Amino acid sequence: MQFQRATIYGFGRWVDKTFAFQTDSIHCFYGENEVGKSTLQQFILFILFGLPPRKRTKFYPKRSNQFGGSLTIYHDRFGVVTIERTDKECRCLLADGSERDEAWLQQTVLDGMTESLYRSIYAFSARDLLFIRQMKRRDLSDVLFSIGLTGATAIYDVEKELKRRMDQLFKRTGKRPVLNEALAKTDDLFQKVNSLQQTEATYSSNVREKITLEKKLQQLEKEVTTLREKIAFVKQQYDLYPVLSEYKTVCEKLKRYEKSTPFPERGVTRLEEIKEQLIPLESEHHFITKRIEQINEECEQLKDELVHHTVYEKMQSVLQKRETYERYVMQIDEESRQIDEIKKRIAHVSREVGVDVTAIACSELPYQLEQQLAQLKRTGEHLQEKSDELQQSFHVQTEKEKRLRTEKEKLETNLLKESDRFRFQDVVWTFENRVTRQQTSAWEAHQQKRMKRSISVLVLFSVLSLLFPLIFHENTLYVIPIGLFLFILWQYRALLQVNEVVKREQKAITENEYDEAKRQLETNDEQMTKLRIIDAELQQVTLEREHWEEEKLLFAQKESEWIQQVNRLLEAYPFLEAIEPIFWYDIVEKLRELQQLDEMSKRKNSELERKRTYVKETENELRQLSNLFPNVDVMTMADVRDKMDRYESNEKKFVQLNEQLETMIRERDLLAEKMTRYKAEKTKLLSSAFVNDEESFYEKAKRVIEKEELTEQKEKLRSQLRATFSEIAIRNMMTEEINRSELKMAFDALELEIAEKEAELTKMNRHIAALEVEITQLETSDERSEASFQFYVQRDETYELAKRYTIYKIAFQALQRAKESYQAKFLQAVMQKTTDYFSYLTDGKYVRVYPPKEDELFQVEAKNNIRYTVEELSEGTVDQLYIALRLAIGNVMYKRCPFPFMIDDAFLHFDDDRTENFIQLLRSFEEERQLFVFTCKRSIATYFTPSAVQVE
Amino acid sequence: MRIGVIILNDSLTFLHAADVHLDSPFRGLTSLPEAIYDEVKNSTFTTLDHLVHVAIEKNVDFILFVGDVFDEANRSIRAQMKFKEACEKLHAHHIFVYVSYGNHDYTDGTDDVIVYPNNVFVFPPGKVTSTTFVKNGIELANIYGFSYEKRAVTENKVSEYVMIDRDIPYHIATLHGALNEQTDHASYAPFQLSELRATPFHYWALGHVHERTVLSVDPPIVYPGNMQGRHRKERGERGCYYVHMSKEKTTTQFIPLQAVTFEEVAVDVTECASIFDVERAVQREIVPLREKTLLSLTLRNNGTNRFSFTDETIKELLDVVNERLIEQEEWIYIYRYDVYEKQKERVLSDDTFYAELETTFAQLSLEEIVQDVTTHEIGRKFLTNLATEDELIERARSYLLNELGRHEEGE
Repeated sequence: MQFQRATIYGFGRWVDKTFAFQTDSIHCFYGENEVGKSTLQQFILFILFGLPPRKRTKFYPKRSNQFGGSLTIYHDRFGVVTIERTDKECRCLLADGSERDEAWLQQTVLDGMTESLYRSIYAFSARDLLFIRQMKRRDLSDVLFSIGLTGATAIYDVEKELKRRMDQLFKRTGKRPVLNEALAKTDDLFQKVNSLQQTEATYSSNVREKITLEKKLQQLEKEVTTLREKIAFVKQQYDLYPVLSEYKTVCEKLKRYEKSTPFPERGVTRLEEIKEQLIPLESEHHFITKRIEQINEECEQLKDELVHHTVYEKMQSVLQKRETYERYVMQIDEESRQIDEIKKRIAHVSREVGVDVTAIACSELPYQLEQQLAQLKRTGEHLQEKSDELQQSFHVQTEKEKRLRTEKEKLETNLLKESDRFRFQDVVWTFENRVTRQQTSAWEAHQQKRMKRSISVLVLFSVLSLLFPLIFHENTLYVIPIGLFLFILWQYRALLQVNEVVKREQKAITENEYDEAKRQLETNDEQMTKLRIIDAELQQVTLEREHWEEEKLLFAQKESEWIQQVNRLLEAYPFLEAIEPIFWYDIVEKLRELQQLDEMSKRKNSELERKRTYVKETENELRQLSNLFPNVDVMTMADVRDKMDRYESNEKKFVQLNEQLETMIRERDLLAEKMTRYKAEKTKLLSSAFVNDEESFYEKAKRVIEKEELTEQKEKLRSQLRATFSEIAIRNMMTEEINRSELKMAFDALELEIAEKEAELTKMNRHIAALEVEITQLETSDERSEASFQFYVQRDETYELAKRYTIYKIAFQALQRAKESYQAKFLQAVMQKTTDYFSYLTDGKYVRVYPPKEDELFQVEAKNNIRYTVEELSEGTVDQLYIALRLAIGNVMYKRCPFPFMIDDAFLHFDDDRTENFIQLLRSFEEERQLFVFTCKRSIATYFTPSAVQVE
Repeated sequence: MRIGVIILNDSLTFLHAADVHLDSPFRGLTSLPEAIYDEVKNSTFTTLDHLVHVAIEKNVDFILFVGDVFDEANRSIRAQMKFKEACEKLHAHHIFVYVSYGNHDYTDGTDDVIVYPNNVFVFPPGKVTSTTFVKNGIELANIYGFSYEKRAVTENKVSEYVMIDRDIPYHIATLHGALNEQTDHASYAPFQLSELRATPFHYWALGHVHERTVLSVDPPIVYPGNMQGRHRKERGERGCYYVHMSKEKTTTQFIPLQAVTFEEVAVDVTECASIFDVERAVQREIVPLREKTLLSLTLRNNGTNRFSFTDETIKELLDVVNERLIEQEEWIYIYRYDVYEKQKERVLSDDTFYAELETTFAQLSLEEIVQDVTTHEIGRKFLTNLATEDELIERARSYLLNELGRHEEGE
């Protein structure tokens, strides 16, 4: 495409101005600042791409009403086309005379080229040079792509559309886009569903809790009811406390009666009735009994007097004996007197005889006995004589012998012992005085003998006296025997002393000793003589004795015969024993008399005895009789008679009484029988009350009445209590010990407890109600299913949106990536050219240009292989780089989009060499395309002379 | 092998439903007009109402719900209340309800807080158990089943189905699980058809698979499918099976129950010169639709000319059409559309650039592209799936080329 002519109707400072352009050459517009170089540029762009009305105002000409102008171009496809653009319209006039609208212009002529694109590719100014410093990959790519692709418009459109749709649908951090909204909504619903689900999850726990609570509630209600009952009960207890306590007391009292056995019905009355019947009977009975007793007493009295039948018989029998008895009494005295005389006689005779009468009483005294006894008497007398004779002679002999022997003994005793005799002889011989001496000794001996005797007596006595206290246990009495002993000791000592004296005297051969010795010797001699005489006499005696012995033997024989006879007699008549046999004959007659007397006495005695016995017996009988009667000493027969008479009359009376008595007893028995009936009844009554006597019965009756009264009272109180309390309650109250204040306290405590429980109840009810509300709400609400439904719908909708978004995004991305890879291929070409141009512009100082990577900047490599970023390059070098890049892009793109270049003071910072190079470079393009160079520098303009146009 | 002799004349009738997915959300629905909003929203409940209605009308003995009565493990109370209401209504008509929970409403070890009426029997989680249905005092049927305790029950449960009390005439097994051959559902409680056939049960009431399928006629082994479609893939009639068992035979009958039908209609717009032609073509295709329908439209341009209507134009058109359609009693609502065009010859002014473009498309990383939305603070919650939507690239390509072409050709 080439510009041929620009006709300005009015645009900025330009009015009615026409510029003609040659094809394929460089057009340089030179002028000072503010002369309108840029406006001309802007005008061309305005014609091609238009301007939004707002921006247009800036270019309304001050000196003209006309705005706009036309640009004639040459298009490879359509040939010459004049584009006219005014404030109102845009027309394209084709060579064939047809006219097209702006759309056609854009679609075909511009082929997607936009102002910005054009500016970025083909128009560059000093201002733009700054841009490269910040140019990054994306910018470069955009530029490259938009320039490189022929169908870029469609792609752009679609891309734009996709982007728009995507943005409408979703922005990662947005809120308004549809998907964002849908997501938010979904999430809201999701949360809602979750929370509702959670709420529903509480349903089961709520239901369970409710059930539990209801159970608890029931329990609690029951408890409250129980408590209420309890409190009512306590209240009643409190109110009825007096009644209760009275009831308790009564019960307590009654307890004492509990043990009482049953009591018959109407017991007392019945007893009274019985007694009413019984008492007259009893009194009658009593009277009769008394009477009977009286009679009995009388009878007894009579009986006392009225001896027993036997007594009576005895008395009778005694009285029968009365005659005999009285006779005997008189006889007894007489006869006993006779007997006494006989006895006296017997006594006398027996005394005479010396035989007890009794001994002979039963002996037979034969007639020959007198002869026998006479013989015996004789022999006996003879023997007596002989015996006496023998006795006499023996006695004489014995006496004689005894006397001799005594004498001899005495003599022999008095004879001195041989030693003494010799000693005395010595003494005599020395001293001739011993006769006195002998006398003294005799005395002493006598003294000693006496002393000894007295000592013996004393000893005996003392021993006795010693016994005495022992017997009598009197200690003080020991003094006596002790004293006696002392005395004995003293006596004995005196005796010893005497002996001592004798002995002492013997030793001293005094004159006395001599005398003594002499006398001793003499006596001794005398006695020796006498002794010899005595011995002769003794011899005589012995002879006599022998003779006597013979006689004696003979006599003994006779005597024994006699004794035998005597013994035989004694055997037959033992009573004779007491009588010397020689007198037996003399007493025989007497004995016979005795025997007769004895017999008589016996006879008389027995007679007497009989009578006496009889009397005695009678008297005994009397006595016995008397004994039968009290206060009677001994009765005489007359008494007995008396008594008999009295008894007989008494007896008569007794019989009468007895008869009376019998009647009464019968009567009494009758009464007793009656009484027994009543008594039995009474006993029955008593026993039915388990008592033994009336006292107890009445006692019991009293207790029964008391009990009844108490029971009645108890029942009254009980019914009072029963009106309020149950049986069990009363029983329980009875066992409990409670007082009123405790009840009050219990009441208060219960009240408090009830209040607490009720509060709890209310709370629980409220809780349950709340739960119920929740439960019902959950049961009736379809909120959750609604929300759930909505959620799923919303979720699916959202998902669908997301899918749509994804589709857009995939498409978008695919498009972009395709674009990128496509661009990458062009980039390579662009960069190659850029390097070439840049190297040329810098005289080979830089050998390579690297495109920016992502967020990095351009880099260049110097000849020495050092890389620099654009920031590190000098301003001029950067401008050169930019220009190299722009030229490269333009050149690469030109094949597809052959638009003219516009360069506006792009070499401000170039030194001369570089400017030269640049101009040379531009000139090298001249062949292929139009170039418009705008500059305010004359020096630059000169390069393009003569074609340079001075703008004024 | 059939064991157990039916000795009674008593027949047994029941409805076999599964995958009710009460209160389930819908997929792919964007903004719905107010007029049908509630109807669509409540469609799962309406469907349940239909079921109850049918049960009462047919006076069935009981209904089987073989898993996924509710849509989420954390089932909504509204859904539960609705279900309870339904059960109560059935209770009033002496119709029993046997429920087992599936992978979408697994028990998670918690008990139902809501107390269902006495006619409801819920199979306990874990091992297969059985319960006996008693009719007129006669033990008529044993029903076997189990509930999911966790979302995933991956073991084969068939061996746990052991028939007991063979004197009882009918034995019905309920199993919420996947046929092993099927791959479009997660393999929960997988089973082989042959395994089921080998059991002596009289009816296998299956659940889990949303497309109704009769795997076997004798014995009947049936997936009734779900009762209400919830997205464009769950098209057409949906409902339950009405089963009639007698000693002679067992008959099954499908009963549609859906409140709203999802449909897909393709419209040939090749010959459409104007947008009005498009409208007429669309109208023509819609005529046979007789139900309340949510329609997904595909506009097909089989010609060589470029489809010259913009999204906006089509949207505008559909708005007009919809406005009229939803006025009807049996409304129709076009909730989405797609445009399919035969690929056109590209006229490129510069081959180099288009070559670059094609190369670029081939190299694009979707993940990278969607990063701005998938890492967006909210977007990352809901849009991460975008990275996997590979077809978007093709769509974008097609779109871009179309757009470029349009721009190049100029209007």
